[in-house]
Amino acid sequence: MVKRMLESIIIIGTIVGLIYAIIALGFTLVYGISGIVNLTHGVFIVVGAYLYGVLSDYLLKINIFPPESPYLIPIIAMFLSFIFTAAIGSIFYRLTLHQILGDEISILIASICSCLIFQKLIYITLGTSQAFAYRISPLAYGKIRIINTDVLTGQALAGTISLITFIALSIFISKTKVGRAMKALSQDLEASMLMGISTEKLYMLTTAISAGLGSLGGILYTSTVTFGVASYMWMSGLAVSFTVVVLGGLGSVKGSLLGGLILGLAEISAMTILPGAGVLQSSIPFIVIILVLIIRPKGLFGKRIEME
Amino acid sequence: MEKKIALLVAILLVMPPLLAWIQSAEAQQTLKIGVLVPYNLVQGEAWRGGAEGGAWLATWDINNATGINIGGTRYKIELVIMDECAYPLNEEQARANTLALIQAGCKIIVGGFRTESTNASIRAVYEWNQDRPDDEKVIYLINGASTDELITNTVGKDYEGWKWLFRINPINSTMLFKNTLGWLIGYLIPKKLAPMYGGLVKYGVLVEDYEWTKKIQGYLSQPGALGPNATCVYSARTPPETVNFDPYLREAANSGSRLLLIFYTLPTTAYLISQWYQGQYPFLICGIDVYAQSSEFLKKTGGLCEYEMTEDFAGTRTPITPLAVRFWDNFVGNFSKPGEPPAWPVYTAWGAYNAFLTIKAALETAGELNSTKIIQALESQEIWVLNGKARFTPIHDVYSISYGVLWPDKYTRAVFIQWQKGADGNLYKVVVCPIDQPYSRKTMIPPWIYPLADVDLKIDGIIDVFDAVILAAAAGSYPGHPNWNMEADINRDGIVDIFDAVLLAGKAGQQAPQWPLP
Repeated sequence: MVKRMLESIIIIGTIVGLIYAIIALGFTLVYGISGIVNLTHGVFIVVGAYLYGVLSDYLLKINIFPPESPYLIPIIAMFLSFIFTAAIGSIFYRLTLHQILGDEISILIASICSCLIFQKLIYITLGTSQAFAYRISPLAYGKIRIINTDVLTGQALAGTISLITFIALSIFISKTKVGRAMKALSQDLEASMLMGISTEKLYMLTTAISAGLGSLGGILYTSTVTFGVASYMWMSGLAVSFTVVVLGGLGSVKGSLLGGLILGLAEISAMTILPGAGVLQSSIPFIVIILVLIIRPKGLFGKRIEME
Repeated sequence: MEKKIALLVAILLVMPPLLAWIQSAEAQQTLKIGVLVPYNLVQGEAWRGGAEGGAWLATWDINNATGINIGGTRYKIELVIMDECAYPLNEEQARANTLALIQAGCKIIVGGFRTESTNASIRAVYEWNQDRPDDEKVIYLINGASTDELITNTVGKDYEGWKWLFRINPINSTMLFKNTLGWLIGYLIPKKLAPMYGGLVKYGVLVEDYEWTKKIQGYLSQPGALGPNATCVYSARTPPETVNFDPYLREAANSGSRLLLIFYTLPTTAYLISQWYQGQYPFLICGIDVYAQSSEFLKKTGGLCEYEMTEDFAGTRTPITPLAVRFWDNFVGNFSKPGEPPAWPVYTAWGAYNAFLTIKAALETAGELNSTKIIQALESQEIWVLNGKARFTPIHDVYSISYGVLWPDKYTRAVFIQWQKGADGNLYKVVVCPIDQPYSRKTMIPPWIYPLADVDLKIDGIIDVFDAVILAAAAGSYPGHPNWNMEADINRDGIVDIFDAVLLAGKAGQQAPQWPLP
């Protein structure tokens, strides 16, 4: 009984953790490369999920795909949502962040205001309910058995997509010219500029990729956990991102993967073991943040942030 | 002689236009009725199935027929509609809008969905009426808010001050809750679930964290609340902004719940039910889920709402009375928008229509626009409305006495519906309680809980000759037939016949892997 419970916690916690990790990945990427704490990341999670829902329904409606390939629609919708959200991210960077680069307080204020504006825009365009902006179809139906635990097929798929994305991003950063330029930028801004690296273009690209990753996180979360997106979900998305980067260290891609896993495992453990833990669900990220900051203020892999 | 003929011709020439003028003058009489609609909610706009649609439909039906005959004069209804300001809640504006209706000349107001805005509204009318003689009071019919205190603390405590206030819809909260208990204790637990689980059904309670659910949760969490065959093993409240219900569902499952009772008005139940269905949690869901009454819910869950049960006014196109089907068809036909879910009327739409039927009958009985006489007429009348017979209690609440699984008296009551798949593969709201009506059908158990539930008529874990005997005993029967057995109607088409036998035979010999179910 205890063994089965532990197996269930590890398997489900890992899958949920991978989804959380991908939600936070874009947030940590932007900070790691440009030093921007971009709170608008929460909105990209919602916008991405919403776009995915709309695109999926549209592609289903126009009925141009063969019925024997049911996964074409979610794949194409996911890809298009990634691209559109990335475009929104780069436009947002150009219009706001770029103008106030270096002024951290202004960036924080601007990004919070943007979140509230986006939330209202989503509500206005969709109309009916702030609580339920759009229905998101399940990524997959049914359950599969992993060791002795039944897991939703969609969640298992989401965990796999998340892992592949992490690997792809690692390869991109370490093996491609653009990726290496980003890495250089994160290590030394002045040296990078001296080497001819265009910071403006790279920051915009980073914000775009970050937004795209946020949208992917939103899609995976809403299509495997909630099956719907609410205009105010950016707040919980941001809470998850914060927790993951605090655990794993701001600016560490590897850290955000482990941070996500730790958060997922912590949440599922609490849900399984503690009676009445359902009501704590939204507080668990904050409890974890406080515990980690007490024990290890710099996170698992990030640099220590010095107070001046 | 010639003069007489000329006079006769003149009279004959003048008569038709004169008569026409008299008739048109008659038809010029209008009666303004104010309607407060909870916009921004499913219960509001016509295209979403709300009260606005019920009011319009009633107005057209009445005006296109004979109008309202008040003391020999025909009146046409002129609707004046304003926002109840229920969402977002704005009590000051609700009050102001109510007064605006009165100032626009409305002698009768129908409205009041949300308790807080209704309170503000009826108090505005109370203040207005205080300065008016008895014969000139504004009359108010509540449509939507079920809180007992809206009537017990007003008409119930101060009849003279509040006698102009009535509630036409819905039945009050106490009766709504009794309906829930009646269904659970009278049928669902002892007849369906207890046999599956060895005699004792463990249940959980999940409610939205609002005031109205506190007493309900407290009551249901007590030992013995649902009879000797049930015990509460889980109870939780969810914050209004909750979108991820998975932790609660997981907890309920881990606690051993095999029935989860939910009480929600929020549209976030679309998440809850979708997550329940997708996660295939091992319990039935039943309770009060206001949003699940609407066709919009079907769209928001993408059909992942099959098997959910909730209290409702009626099912999809349920022929509670002959009026009901006509009302349903006209409502859907008139108010559905292209590209949106069909405008299935929700309970406030039914209530609004009922309100107008009630008002018409009372006015025609009263014979004049005298509020004293109208109130007397309302107090004494009993008429057929869309969902049964309607009359008022001595304190002006809608009269309702049935809350069990049977409905012999036909006074308006709540029903329980279950979202079920029809023969065409689409989902519909099917009435599962009361069980004695021609449109009542059996309760379906999700296949992930018990795959043989639809054919295991004896509920013993095995499909064998005993199930066939039960089916044979009901063969050829239909609702109202002495041998009718709803459970034997496996395909739920309203008759027990060879098609049901074929379905039974198709699973003959199969057994549940474990019995009783875990």
